[in-house]
This record gives sequence, C-alpha cells and structure tokens, in this order.
Amino acid sequence: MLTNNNFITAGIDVGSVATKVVILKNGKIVGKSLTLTKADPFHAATFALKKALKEARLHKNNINFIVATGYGRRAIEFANETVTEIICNAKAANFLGSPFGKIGTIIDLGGQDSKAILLDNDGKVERFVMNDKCSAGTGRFLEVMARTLELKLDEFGKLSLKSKNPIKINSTCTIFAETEIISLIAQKKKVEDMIAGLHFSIAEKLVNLASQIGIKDVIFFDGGGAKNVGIKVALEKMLGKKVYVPPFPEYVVALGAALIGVEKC
Amino acid sequence: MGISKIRKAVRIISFVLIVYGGLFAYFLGVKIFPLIPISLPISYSAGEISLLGKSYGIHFFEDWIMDLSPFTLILPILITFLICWLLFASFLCGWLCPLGCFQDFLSFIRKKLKIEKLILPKKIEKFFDYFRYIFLFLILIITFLISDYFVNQVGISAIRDMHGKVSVSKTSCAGTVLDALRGEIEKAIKRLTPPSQPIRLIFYFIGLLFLGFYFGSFFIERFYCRVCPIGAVNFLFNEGSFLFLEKDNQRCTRCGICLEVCPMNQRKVYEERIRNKVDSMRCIKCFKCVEKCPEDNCLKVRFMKFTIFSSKFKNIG
Amino acid sequence: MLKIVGEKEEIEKFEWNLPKIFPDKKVEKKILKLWELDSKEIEKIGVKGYGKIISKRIKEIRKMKENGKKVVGYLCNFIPEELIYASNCIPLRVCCGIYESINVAEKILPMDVCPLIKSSFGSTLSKLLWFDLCDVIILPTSCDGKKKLAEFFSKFKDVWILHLPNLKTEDEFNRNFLPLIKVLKEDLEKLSKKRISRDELEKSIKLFHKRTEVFRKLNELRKKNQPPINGIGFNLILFTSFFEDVERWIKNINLLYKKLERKDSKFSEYPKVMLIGSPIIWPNFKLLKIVEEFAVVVNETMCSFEHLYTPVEVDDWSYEGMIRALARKYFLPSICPCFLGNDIVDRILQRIEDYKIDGIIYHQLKNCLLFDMEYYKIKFVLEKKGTPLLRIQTDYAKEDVEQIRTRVETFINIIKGKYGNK
Repeated sequence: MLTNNNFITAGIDVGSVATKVVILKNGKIVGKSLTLTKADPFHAATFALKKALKEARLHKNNINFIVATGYGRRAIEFANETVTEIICNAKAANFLGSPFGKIGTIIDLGGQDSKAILLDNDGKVERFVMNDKCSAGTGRFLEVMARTLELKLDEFGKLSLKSKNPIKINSTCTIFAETEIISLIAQKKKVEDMIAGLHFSIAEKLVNLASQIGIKDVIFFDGGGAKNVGIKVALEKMLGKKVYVPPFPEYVVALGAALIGVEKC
Repeated sequence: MGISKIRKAVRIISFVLIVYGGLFAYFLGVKIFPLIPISLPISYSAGEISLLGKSYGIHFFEDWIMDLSPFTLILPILITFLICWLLFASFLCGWLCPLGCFQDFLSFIRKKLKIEKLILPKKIEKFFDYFRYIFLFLILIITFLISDYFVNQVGISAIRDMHGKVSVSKTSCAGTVLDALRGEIEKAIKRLTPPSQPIRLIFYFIGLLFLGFYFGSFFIERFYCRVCPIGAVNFLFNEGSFLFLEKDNQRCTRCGICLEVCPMNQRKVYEERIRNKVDSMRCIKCFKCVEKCPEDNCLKVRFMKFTIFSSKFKNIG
Repeated sequence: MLKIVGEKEEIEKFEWNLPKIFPDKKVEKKILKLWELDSKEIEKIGVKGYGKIISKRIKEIRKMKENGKKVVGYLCNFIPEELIYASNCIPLRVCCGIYESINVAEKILPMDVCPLIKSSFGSTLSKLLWFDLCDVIILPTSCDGKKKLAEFFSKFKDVWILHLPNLKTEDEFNRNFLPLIKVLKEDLEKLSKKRISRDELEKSIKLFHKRTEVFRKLNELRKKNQPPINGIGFNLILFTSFFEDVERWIKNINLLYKKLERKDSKFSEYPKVMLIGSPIIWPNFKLLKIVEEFAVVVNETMCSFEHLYTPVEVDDWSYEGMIRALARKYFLPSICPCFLGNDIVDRILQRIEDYKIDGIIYHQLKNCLLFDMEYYKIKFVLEKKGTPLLRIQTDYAKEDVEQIRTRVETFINIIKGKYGNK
C-alpha cells in the first residue's frame, strides 16, 4: 500500500539545527534536501521544500499531502498535518527495515537532542524517552569538541577508529568536557585517543538514555549524528550488539513523515 | 433497606422470643423444646417460668425427654448449634443473642446521651481473646461437675436446690438481668445476695463479673461478648464459616471507617491488604463495617457463592 | 510567630528578617483577567457568575475580617476544615499555582525548591489576591520544603506547625495524630475566642459531608463513555473550593451537576487520560491544557482534591468521637508520598477500571524528591497492568511547553494506536 500508489507526499522535519525535506513517490525518495533552520522554521521549510521539489522535478501542486514534524512543526502553516518526530521515526524505521532482522530499539542522535524509542512486536512505538535538556548526549557535543580540536566533523569519526587506547573523558557536561580536552591537548596526548574517548562518552550517554526504556535487538541508529561511524562502532562495542545505520540517517524522520502522508491520502 | 434497620428488627424479635418465649409457649399451649432450641442455655428453671411474681409451670420439654440422661439431652442441642456454627458462625452473636441485644440497647442509650465510647487498648483485647477460652473451659468443667449425672456418681449435694434439680445459671447472678426483665424484682435481688456455701460463692463472684461486663457495655460496646463462653465457641467457627466477609483490596481507600464502627474493635478488615476473606476471631457479624464502608462493592457479605449485602456510598441523612 | 500546634512556646528566638517586598498590582490584575478568561469554560456549560468569583470573595473575606472573623490558612490537606469552620473562622487553602510569585520567592528561597512552595511563599509575601489575608497559617510537616518554609513564613505571619508522623498506621494515628488534632481544636478556640460546641461541630461535619457527596456525584459523570466535562472545566471549578464559602460552593456544584446531567458530551472522540503525581493548581494548568489538546482528562488522583473524596463517617456522635472520625479521614486515606508505604497504587488501579482509562500521565514538579522516588513503584505496577504511563517533569515556567507537547502528543498517539481508532 505504501509502495504502489500514485500519491506524492512530502515530509518536512523541522529540527532545532537543520530542516530536512523528503519527497516520496511510489515508495521511492524522489527528492530530498537539507537546510539550516536558524531562527525561522517557516522560511527554512519553504526553502528546503523548494530545493527538494527542484531535485524531484515536481511542482508544489503535485504534492497530495504534506506532513510536518520536528520541533518547529507548528510553524509550518502549509502542512496538512503535524505529527511528532517519534512517530515518524518509528514509521520510517519499519519501512526501511534492517538487514539484521526486526527493529527493536531506535536511537536518534540529533543536533540538539537525542531520543530512544522502543518498538513492540508490531513495530509500533511502545515507549520512548527524550533528552532535550542537556547537550552532552547530542550532536552539539561533538561539534564543540571538533572546534576545540580544530578538526572537521566528517574526519572525526574515522579518526576515532584509529585509536588503540581510548582516553576516558570524565566530565559529563559539554563545557567541562571541553576544558578536559584542552588539558589533555596540553599533556600532548594522542588526538585519536582523545577523540575515541569522546565518542565513548556520547555512546555512553545514548546507552544510558536507551536503557530507561529497554534495549531490544535490532538497534536502528539514525539522526544526523549517526553519520559518524565512530559513534556507531562505540555503540556496538558498548552494547555487544550489531547496530544498523540506514543510508541518509538524517532524513529518516522526514521520510517517516512522508510515509504518514501516504496513509492519510 | 439498611442492614442496621433489618438487624435491629431481627434482634428485637429474637430477644422477645428468647426471654419471654416460654410464656408464649405457655399461652399457646406448646412445648418449648424443640420450638426454641437455643433457649436452653439461657437460664430457665426446669419446669417453670415466672413473670411479675406469678409462676407458670410449663412443660419445658416433652415428658420423655426429661427421662433422658443429660448427655442425650445435650446432643440435639449441640447438633443444632453445630449446624448454625458451620453455616453462620458468630452471626448468632450479632443477630440473635438476647444478651447482645441488651448490650446494644445500652449502647443506644449512650449514643442518645452523646457520651463518648471507650475503646479498649490492643493489649487488653488480646488478653480477653485468651481469657474467654480459659473461662469457657472452666465453665464446661464446672457444669460437668455439678450436672445431675455427675452428682449422682460423685455425691456432691451441696449445690442442689430445693427441687433437687440444678442449673448453672441459677447459681449465678447473671440471671439477675433476665429476671429483672421479666419483672421478677425479688428474685433478681435474691440472686444478688452472696451465698454462704464456698462453691456457690465462686459462682456468685463469676456472676458479679458477668454483670459488670453486661453493664460495662454502656461504655464499651459489646463488652460482655469479649468473655462470653458461647461467643468463644462461635468465634472458633468464624474463619471457615459459609457466611463470610469479603474485601476487595483494590477498592479500599484505607479510610479506617470499618475500624471506627466495629463494636468488637477488631482490625482485620482494615489491616488486611492481600487476602480477600477478612473474617476474624472477634467478629460478631453485625456487618456495620459493610454498611458504613464508603466505597462501592469494597466489602461484601457472602454466603458461599451468593452476595447478600454489598458496601455502597450513602448520603448523610 | 512560630509554634507547634498545642504548645505555647515560640520555636525560634533569634532575630532575622526578610527583605521588604512590595505588592505588584500588575500581576494581580493579570491573574484576575486570566481567571475571567479561563472561567468562560464553566460559563459555556451554563453556570454564570464564575468570572468575578475571586474578586467578590476577596472583598467578602476582607469585610468579615473587619467584623472580627479570623482567617486560618493552611497548606496541603491534612487540616480538618470542619474544625476551622465550626470555630467560626474562615478556612483558606494557600497552595498556589502562580508563576510570577516564584521570582519574588527566589530572592529569599533557594532555586532548587519545589515551585509550589516558592509560589505559595511568594504570593503571600507580595500580598497577592487572598494569600495574605490569613491571620494564622497551619503548616503540616509533610515534606522537607514545607517544614523549613515555616521559618520563613513566621517572619511575617503566625505559623502553627502540625507534626505529621511518617507512617500511616493505626498506632501512629492514635499516638501522634489524634492528640494533635485535639490540641488544634483548642488552639482554634483560643484564636476565635469561642468554644466549639458539640452541636456546631456536628453541623459542620454534616455540611462538609454534603461537599463530599456532591463531589462524588460530579465525578460519577466523568465515568461515562462520553464525559460531559473536561479536565480543565472540572479543575477550575474545584479550584474554587480553596477559597470559596462552603455552602455557596455546594450550591454551585449542585447547579452545575443539574446542567451537566443532561448535557451531551463533546469529548467522546478523545482518549481518556488520568493525571497523577504533583498537584495541578490554577493557574498552573500548563500540562492540563496541553494534554487536553489531544485527550480528555477524566480523573486526577492528586492531593489537590483527593481529600474531597473520602467522607467523614461518625459512629459515635459524642465530642470525642466526632474529633476522632474527623482526624481519621484527614490522615489514614491520604495519598501523599510523604508517608512510607503509601498505598496510592490500589487507588490508581481501581480508577483505571472505573473510568476506563487509556493512559496515565505522571506529573512531577521539579525538585520534589518524594514524587521522584515514588515514580519507580508506580511504573512497576502499571507496566504489569499494561496501562501506558508517561512521566512529565516540569515546573511553572512556560519555556518547556513545546517539549512537553511533543511528549504528550506522541504518548496519546501511542495510546490511540494501541486501542484502535478513537
């Protein structure tokens, strides 16, 4: 039903850092785009939608249903419906599936928040927990650290895999962890060891968060932060389980929104 | 129709039947036994009953019954009791016992006068829980000792009365109350004078004690029931009787009203949190707790599978 | 002045003072306007006159004070209102939900204190609405915050401390709580310079019993498949019981009940939600309003109004018997987590069945250790029962509205998904 129909739907995920748009036709993504939300969700959504439409070679009128999700969803007046990002995430995860089997837990590492979702046997959301109060377990943490170490965020993950001796970072707070890194730099510690330690730090926060609702096989890791291979590996090491990162993890929630749009048609 | 109203009616009818029943038998011309099988323990002189100074010779029993030995006499009465106990246990205490009715009447007067009721401390209640069985044991032994059968065997003649027959209660002054209720003031006063014989003196003091408990029930509800020997036996059957109290622990809000209204000051209904059956030792099955419980269907009076009464929230007045 | 109920001696003997706080008329106007707006919910049902109810009552209390009547304020619901009413004083509950008062309180109290305590303290300090009208405030030692708050209150009000035992057993009741209520009665008599007669107490108890009857009647309506009143309307009306005259309140509720009895429900499409945990007191309806965007709240098992649920059942109408029955009702069935082995769990489970609850939201005020620690027990039981549970930790500030909304909306979606189309 979701794959063979002639509906064209759009999912707009207005996150606190970036707005993502996915245009879905016949169960295939025909256009997607990302833009920074900055201070204007409405403008960001309009802009991102335009870009995605261009890629899909479609016009706004072609879209049958628009679903807005994310923190700024209520500002999107042209959306037909708003749904929370947790529901969208679960929808997309079920649709995409994983090569390791049925998805049990979803971990979403966003720019300024992180979430964990437990799915029941039917793939519906059973429980969820959000961290939107502390930046330590979010993408912001790595951003701050990359800036301190004067590295690009893309190289961050790959560098961490080179470490043979990760250094444990003791501070739980982003700001104080930054101070700790600076003192480690002064002690001339190896960069890859520090970075590996930071990745373990984040992985630990994510595991603590997910433990509140229960960690069930298979683990589906999405959100912008999932692009970082170092965190994926750290998670796998910490949980002793395989972690699946879908292609284009930052677009998963927007995809879910578009899928819900299909159901509503 | 409130439980307490029905119970009031039943108590009064039962009281009248038992205390004055012999007279009805006389005027109706029927033999008492087996009409009122439980009237036997409640002090009648065998063969006569008096009211307002006039004596009515009644055939207490059928003639052939009088020739039976005390054991055979007791047997049908015991069997009746046993059936009652198994089915209803201390329901008899709460609904049929005339002594209970008398005590409730005293409590009623106290309530009208708005005098505070006294609550016995836990330790004293526990003491009476044991005392009443020791007391029951003693009474059974003494009754056995002075029964005709035994007297003939052993030859204790000191406590035989004028007619050559004896009854336990005649030697005790607990019968004062019942005599007074039948207008036999002289007899009542006679009972209160201490006898000279030493064994009779023991009974006299026991009787005084009983009197104290009867009248103590003005301040402490159902005070006599704490030591009543018949009650002692009734209570033994409480745990397994077919008439029982059931509590739905999920509906209980722990308001403690059941504890407040219980005349016997028992706590099982309030304190039980896990099991459903809340019968306890001292319960007289007056069902006040069920009536006053403010949660719908929390407390239920059940007879085997049937629910007879169920608690319900009631508006005041 | 700070003293324990029943004793004469003042507790604190050394001098310290609070800074001077000036009343803010703007805040008062804002709150009264907000009430007029919110009370339109009630007027929609057809009961008029709620818009001005606060200002009218404040004027009335001020007049009664001029004529010599005393006002007895209290926090929580351990104080027998029947006693206060019988002693010819005005009972006034000073639990507060006003956010603006918190700023005032934070000048003196530390940041990490329960917002309810800060708000109540700030409102009384800044002489907002009816909070300053009390002659005496009775504080139970239910939580640490309230305990220590007594010292602060005593600097500008007479405070009586009611020492609550930590266990809710019959022995504790007889040994520690009942004697306190008896001496509280004597203190009230001293305050009002009048003995409480047996007849007056009886009348008072019977009057407040009517309050319980009418509250339960109203609650029964919410058990219907299609409740005729939503959580906001219900909580608004019940909030007026904090300050309104009892007889008038009962009359108003009876009127409301008549209108609601025959009303058609507009809330039948919504899933039914129950709120438990920290009390929701007007105007802190933040969570309530968010929840009711997606569901209808049919029950609150919270200390805000739970004391209206259990009746006072008097078996022995003597003076002592009435006081004992009164004290019992305010102690034994309490659901406050300050008691160890608190058995709110049974009440929640029963209400889930009675009201056909689809999901439960656990409202927890920040910095409240008691409700925080209680959560585990409730989560355990509800997981076993299979009822969905959501915890919302928040305070009076408006900053986290979006975050709460996301959680609540997702939760309601989960419930809808589980129970099919609603």
